[in-house]
Amino acid sequence: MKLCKAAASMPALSSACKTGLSGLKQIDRKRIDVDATSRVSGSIDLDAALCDEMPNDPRWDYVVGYRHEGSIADYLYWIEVHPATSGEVKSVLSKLSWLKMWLEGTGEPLNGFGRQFVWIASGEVRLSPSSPERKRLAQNGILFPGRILKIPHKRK
Amino acid sequence: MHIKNLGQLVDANIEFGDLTVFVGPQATGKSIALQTLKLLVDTGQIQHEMSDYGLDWEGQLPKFLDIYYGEGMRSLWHAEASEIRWNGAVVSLEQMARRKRKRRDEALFFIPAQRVLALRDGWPRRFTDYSPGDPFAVREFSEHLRTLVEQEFNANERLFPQERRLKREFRNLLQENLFSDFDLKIDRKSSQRRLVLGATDDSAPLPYMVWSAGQREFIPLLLGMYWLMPPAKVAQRASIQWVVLEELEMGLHPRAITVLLLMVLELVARGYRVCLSTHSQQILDGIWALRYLRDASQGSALLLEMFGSPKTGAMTKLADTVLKKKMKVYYFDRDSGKTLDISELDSESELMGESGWGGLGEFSGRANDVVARAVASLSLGGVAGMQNETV
Repeated sequence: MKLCKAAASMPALSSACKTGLSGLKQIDRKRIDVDATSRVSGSIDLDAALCDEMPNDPRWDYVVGYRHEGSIADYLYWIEVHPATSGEVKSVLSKLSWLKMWLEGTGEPLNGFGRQFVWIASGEVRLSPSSPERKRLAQNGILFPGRILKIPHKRK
Repeated sequence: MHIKNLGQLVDANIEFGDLTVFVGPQATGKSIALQTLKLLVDTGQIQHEMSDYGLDWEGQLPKFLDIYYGEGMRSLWHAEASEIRWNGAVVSLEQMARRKRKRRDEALFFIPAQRVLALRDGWPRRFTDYSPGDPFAVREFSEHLRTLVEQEFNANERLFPQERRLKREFRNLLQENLFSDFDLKIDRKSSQRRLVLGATDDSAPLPYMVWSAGQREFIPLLLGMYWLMPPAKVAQRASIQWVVLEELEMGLHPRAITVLLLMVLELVARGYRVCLSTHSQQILDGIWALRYLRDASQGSALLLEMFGSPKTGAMTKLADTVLKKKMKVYYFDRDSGKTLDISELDSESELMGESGWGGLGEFSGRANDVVARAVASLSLGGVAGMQNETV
């Protein structure tokens, strides 16, 4: 299953899925470092796509589909680009709660994919590796790679 | 200080800050570098102290190295390849061994990792109580402690808490986080003086042999701090300008480490140039935070909050001073034998030594990552819940 094919069946996202990383804002594309660009099946600016429908919701930023070596289905990277300070942890967790609820509702066609939630720092990282906040993110399933997300050819 | 080809050190180029921290795996040359710093700063004092105690190296460098760094350490030096520079100038160790320098007062106080050896039966050992092959830094530290307790404290006197020693805030923090209901005092058993931990009630004092590992590590460290913070209204002890403290965290709970790191900052605020070696991520957490607090509007208050310190006038002054000081951090890389300046402590650095904070943050980072991945897959009902993901 591919991200764009699944999104095409969803009214709010029917035309939102773009090839490669072009669904992301220009400034955010450089925050993702992929081993093989040909394996990026598509990307969606979720925040923009759902803005009209849910203007006041704490919307997640992006989703990127990547077909790792040895897989036939896309693996989805749900990416939030956000300032990385301890004060923002609450805000990102609130966005994650929203995303999970959305995936169980209207976003359900995207809910069955293998996935990783990712918070990419939009500036300087002010979260120590050993801090309780980093642990809190991990416990909620959020990967925090820092300023750049490296997507490997073969998934770990 | 620039060291080439000395023991494990292939190329160690260190620019010292007001506080300099060395990190790196075991046996990467951190202690060699610190002892070499002492040798460079206190050459004349070391030579004369060795002679005064009857240690004779007969003008030969190998014997000098065995006496100074410890037995067998002559192998550190490679005549053709080893080089030490201090303030840009080459220092000839061969010449140093051949000719004594002028006697000078000690300028660097060294608190060694082996400080637990400084006490025997609860009393500091004399310089001459050690074997000839024991490192100079250990023997000298021990001798300093003996001088301190014999010359600056009276029999039956309480060493901790002591009104004339340390700021009141430090005494309270130490009481709360290290001593609990105990105090440290000089006791006599027959004619033998000894340090004991006494309960505040009337129960029998606890002699050295029943102290915990942490107490055995901490008491010599406390006495070292006493040496560096004399009771008179002077910031520093006589000629001392530098302080080396190896592995301050040994045997201690993180709360105790927090207090001791704050005491280290007090040394820095008093004007000492302090060098630490550490395997504690907590210490780098603290240094990392100081970088950001420097430019913050409420930096001093936040610093004290991080350390759980009361925001008194004295402690705020300490924090104000420390935030103006220069901090440096060096990673000693085992593979290359080189040092890496990781003072920025940038967890996003391309350099593994820096992003993993000299290896101290690597495990935490990996633990965070595997938990994040595990939880993300769990929320799908485990791997089996994923759509035909793997061929």
